[in-house]
Amino acid sequence: MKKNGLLRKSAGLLLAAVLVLGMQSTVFASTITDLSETSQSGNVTVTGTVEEPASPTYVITIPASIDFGTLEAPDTDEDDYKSVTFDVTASSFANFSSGTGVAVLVKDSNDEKDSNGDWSAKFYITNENSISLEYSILNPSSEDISTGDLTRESGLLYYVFDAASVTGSSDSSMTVTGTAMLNQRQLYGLDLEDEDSAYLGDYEGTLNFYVRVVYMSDYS
Amino acid sequence: MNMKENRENSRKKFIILIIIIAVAVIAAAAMLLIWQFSMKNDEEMTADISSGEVVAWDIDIDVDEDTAGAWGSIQIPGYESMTFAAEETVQTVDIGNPAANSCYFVITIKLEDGTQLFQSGYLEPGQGYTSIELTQSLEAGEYIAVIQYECYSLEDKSALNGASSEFRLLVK
Repeated sequence: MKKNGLLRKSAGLLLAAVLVLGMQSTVFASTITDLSETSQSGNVTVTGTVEEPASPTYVITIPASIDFGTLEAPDTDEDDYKSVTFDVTASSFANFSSGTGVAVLVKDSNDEKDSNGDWSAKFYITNENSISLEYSILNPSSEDISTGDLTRESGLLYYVFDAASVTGSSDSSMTVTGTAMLNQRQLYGLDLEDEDSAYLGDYEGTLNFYVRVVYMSDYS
Repeated sequence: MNMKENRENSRKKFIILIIIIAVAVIAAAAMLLIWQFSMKNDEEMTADISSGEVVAWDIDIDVDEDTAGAWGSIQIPGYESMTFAAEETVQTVDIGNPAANSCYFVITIKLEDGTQLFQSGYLEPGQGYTSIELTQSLEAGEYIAVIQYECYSLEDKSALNGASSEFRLLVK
């Protein structure tokens, strides 16, 4: 009797092991099915019932990143701006109608709506301790774009490239230069000598450039 | 008495052996599960998670060699419009990551209301799509859509500045 009980327990353990292996087999089977489906969809022959696919009609070249370098706290409680410039280039405009162009809008990639459903329309770099420093973007006319309204929740208007100006230039491209400006006054009075200060570290942030074809008359 | 003790000892040894085997099998199965989970995560991070075949792709850029693909810059292809076939999920497109770039692209196509139609995996410079499968078909009509480019460093996949191009999506 006792022997049978022990054998039943042993058999139970083995059965549990077999069940675990069975679960594993199912996972592998699922994976194989997924791969098969991916492969099928990747090899589907396009029937060509639609028109020729639209090729890009223009190219906008944006900065990969904006680096303020090393920031320092000012000695006095006064504005102390650190600025870096960046280029945005428009090129390869094709088949643009007269009077049209490309609007470039900019928004902080991490901008989120507040409880009222409004965007902050501000730009930040943040360190690993979630300490954020605000900065401004100046358009090629040196105007702070944050004074404008967020257009259709896509970003703050930065610049509008007139297609006629781009295609009419000698190299069919046009580059404008903007400025990112951070007031180091935000760091004034902080104890940055303490190596454990939460304000120390690398600050990062990214921008999203939103572009769309527009009528120039809407921006004159 | 000795025979009984021997039988008892043999039975104990047998049970211990069974338990060791069972534990070993369960441990092996658990390790396999963990290994597969980590592999799956790696695939999600690096593999093409889209429904479409990645092909060689590039675009003619009318810009100075000095500016095209310059270090620290990213070329963003923009579209005025695209045309999709109505009631179909497989669509012919011309989208990708210009060869002059020095970053990965993750391309997402979505409608103005946020409905995601397609998302690529990490596209290296010079990779793109001529055919994709949407997550859903669309009825005939004209939509406002966005092709979003998330850009990541080739070195460590850290996030770079990105861009979105709004376009008219003609479905017919």
